[in-house]
Amino acid sequence: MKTYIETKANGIVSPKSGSSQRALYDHQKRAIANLDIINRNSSYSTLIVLPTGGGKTYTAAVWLLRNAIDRKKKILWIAHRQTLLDQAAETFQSYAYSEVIPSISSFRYRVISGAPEHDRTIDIDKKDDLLIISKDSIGRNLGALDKWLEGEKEIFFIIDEAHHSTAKTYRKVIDYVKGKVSNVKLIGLTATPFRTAESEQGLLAKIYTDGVENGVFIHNDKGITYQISLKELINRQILSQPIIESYNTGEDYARFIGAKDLEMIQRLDILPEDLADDMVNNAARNKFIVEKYVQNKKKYGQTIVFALNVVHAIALCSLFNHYGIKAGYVVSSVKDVTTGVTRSREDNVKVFQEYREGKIQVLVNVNILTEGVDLPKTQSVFLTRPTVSKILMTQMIGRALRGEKAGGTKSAYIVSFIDDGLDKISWSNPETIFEGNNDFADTNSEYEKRDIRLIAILKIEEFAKMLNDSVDTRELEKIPFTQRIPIGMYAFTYLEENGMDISYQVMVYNSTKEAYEQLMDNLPALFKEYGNDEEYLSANKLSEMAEQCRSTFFLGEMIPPYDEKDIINILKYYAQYEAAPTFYTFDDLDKSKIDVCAIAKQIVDQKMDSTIQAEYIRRLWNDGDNNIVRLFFGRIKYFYDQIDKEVLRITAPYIYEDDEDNVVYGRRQFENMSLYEIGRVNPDYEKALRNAAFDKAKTADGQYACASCGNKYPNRIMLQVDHIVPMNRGGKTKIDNLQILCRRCNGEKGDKPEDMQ
Amino acid sequence: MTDYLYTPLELAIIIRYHKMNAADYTEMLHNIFRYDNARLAPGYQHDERKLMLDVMDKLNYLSDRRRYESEQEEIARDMADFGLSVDTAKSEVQYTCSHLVFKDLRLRITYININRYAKIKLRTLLNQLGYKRRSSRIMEYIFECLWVYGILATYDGVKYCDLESIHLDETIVFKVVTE
Repeated sequence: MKTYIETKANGIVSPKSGSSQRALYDHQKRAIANLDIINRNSSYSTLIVLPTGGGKTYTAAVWLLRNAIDRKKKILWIAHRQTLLDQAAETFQSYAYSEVIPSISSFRYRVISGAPEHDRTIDIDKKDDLLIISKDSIGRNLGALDKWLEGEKEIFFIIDEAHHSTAKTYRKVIDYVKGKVSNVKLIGLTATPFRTAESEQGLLAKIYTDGVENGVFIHNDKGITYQISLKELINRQILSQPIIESYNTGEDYARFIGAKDLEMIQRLDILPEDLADDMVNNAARNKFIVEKYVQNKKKYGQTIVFALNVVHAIALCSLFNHYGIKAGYVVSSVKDVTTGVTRSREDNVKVFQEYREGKIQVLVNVNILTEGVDLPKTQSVFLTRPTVSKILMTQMIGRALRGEKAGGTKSAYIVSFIDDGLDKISWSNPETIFEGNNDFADTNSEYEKRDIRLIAILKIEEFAKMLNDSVDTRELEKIPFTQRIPIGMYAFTYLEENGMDISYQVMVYNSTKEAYEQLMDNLPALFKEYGNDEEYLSANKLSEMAEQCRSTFFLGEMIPPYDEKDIINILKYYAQYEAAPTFYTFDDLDKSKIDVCAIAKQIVDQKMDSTIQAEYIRRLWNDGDNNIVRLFFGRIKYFYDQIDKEVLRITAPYIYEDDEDNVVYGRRQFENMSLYEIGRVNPDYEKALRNAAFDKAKTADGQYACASCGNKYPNRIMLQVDHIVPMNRGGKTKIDNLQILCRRCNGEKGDKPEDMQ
Repeated sequence: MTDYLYTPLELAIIIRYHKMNAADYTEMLHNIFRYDNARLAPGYQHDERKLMLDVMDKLNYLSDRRRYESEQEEIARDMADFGLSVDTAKSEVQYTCSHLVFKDLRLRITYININRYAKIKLRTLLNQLGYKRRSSRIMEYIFECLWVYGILATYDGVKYCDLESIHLDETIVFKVVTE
């Protein structure tokens, strides 16, 4: 009886005989030549930038097989997603030909992550030649590398999706490995140096310092050994020329999208379940998609269809077959709900083969074809699901882009299916992938639309609350609409522990601008004070730090106010990247298009009656330049409501004045309330009390002294306001009972008055 | 008795009928709030802002009914997302408008017409109420409404007019009794 099962998590790979049928393209050869140049140095840190479809993993693996594996040098390969780990392992196995590893009889690999199908760090064997590990698995247990690295003088260290490598864990691993091995050859692989805060701040450049230019090694200046753009690959016909088409399905999905859904889609690219279900089960929509192919089957030729989920893939596939188009589907290993048969990897391989041989015309999949499988004859891709992810969009498109010189087609049709009612979301679209000189550069108008959408998603809550009588929004309504439009945003992305990318925007108003600037300046001091070294902070720690930020910077009346959720996300980002997020100004945004104050003035000045007014508003709604009005307000009722409030500001300004009090209520003195409680009812008074307490603690040299230990601090972020006699012992919230303590002294004191310590 | 009180929808219908602009109708609503406060529907007698915004909302609804109704589900969803209950009284648009003719009559006399009176033939008034001729039932209704809305029927602004005896085509001058 067998007492084991086979696992693909580790194994010994022997060289395949002969050489690979897959020839290297010119750009891959250039990348390899430049890697050869940089590899003459005993250690280096560099980036290889190849777009999706450019064969990034393949190029790196082929080069490493020859230069590391064949020379018995160890490779440490790190990525943040499990699928990337599998893909790397498969690439090394697939191209391990004796031509590239002539000197060895075999090599040993191991894949490590938290996934059940992978090994754990405890399984690491000194004899492993290739270690492919998830970032978090190794980040939590760096010591597991010790034995494996012992005695090594040189190691090849690869970071996949290297634009994430500014994250703390990556930096920790890099430093650790560099501390153990004298010669570390660090190579970061990325599809594109994304327009992210961290790259703009040059953090990537601090990690990747070496490169090659004009065949010469450059140290400490240029961090890239080789890069090529998507556009250049198209020009060279390595990738085919994209022809972008879109069809409107006529389906309206507005009713499926609530405010939270918008946030979910924009931040995580997850479609609401009921929306996805409807798209999947919508016979008319599916028929529309299939009929578009049937009507143009000569033009579209061999086509890959990206479906929403497995059920959708199966449904579309059977519909194609119903229309006489030979179609197959490939999905991850799942049970086919219609046939009850479990699809295996072998089934998928068979379908791929039939597609390559032209026996089937249409190949339907969910998103397993985004990378890794070679299907050169693909003439078109059908995108039946919308996505906000540029990466996913690029990967989907990448499937059809195999150019003539790469054995593919001259041009490729990128066909997307657009539904109504979803225009509030900043979807990624094929056009933007190819626009501009930079692969991912958007046009100004696209930027503007994206900014408007991002603002709008956050404004919906405000609009909805203003419509609802149960929420008192009078204070907010006192502020003219134009001042309720953010002046800019902090935009950043970070990784959750599960490897998911979180894209977050913090909107900044005139009212909160200064507070945010102070917070950003003081983030290093805050993290130093809280002694935090973790990449993922606990909920308690986050909440404690957020309160410290509030009581230091966000004091006083702020309308519009700040949101604690925003502070928490900034803290999460900083914990990971140790850098303040970048601020993007909305100065260039033409706010006149959404200026309801001006619209209201026009209505009043022109003495419009309600019918003419409604026609005017409908015109703005329907004919607004680039639909900015619709994008911003989302629902016409919100638009009407905001206009009404501004009209009232002109015709009945007294409405916004404070009401006359006709009841004399009982009083609760501020001195009997905590600072926090005071802040909730009178933020300005809380601010004054805190400022007065800090003034008392100010030293001659402009610093602040802790009243207990006497230590001096340059700024407030490390200090807290304390009641000398605690409130639960009768102490009052009055300036003569307030003092400044450092966090440690305050923690030690607890609620004991000074004379009891 | 609450159906004698002014609701936002009824006020919006009257404002729309008279083609009033924003400045004029906010002034009228302000005056109603100050001087006719007791005639406002419950919930509006102590909140002028709510009165104005709800009337404006109904004006928008009357002008763009189809789109307003088509958005109801989406707005309910937004509200639910933020833990807000949908204000059913506000979203309920199928009000029954009661005594609209007399509500309008009082507002015309008090706030809209400069002369502070309204001239109408009895036949026209009956037509507006859906009748062609006098009956004891309709006359009883008219008298009740005139009493409730403090409206006086005269021949010339001074002399009392007996609606039961005048000719159908005779013009009546309606005035509001000063309270």
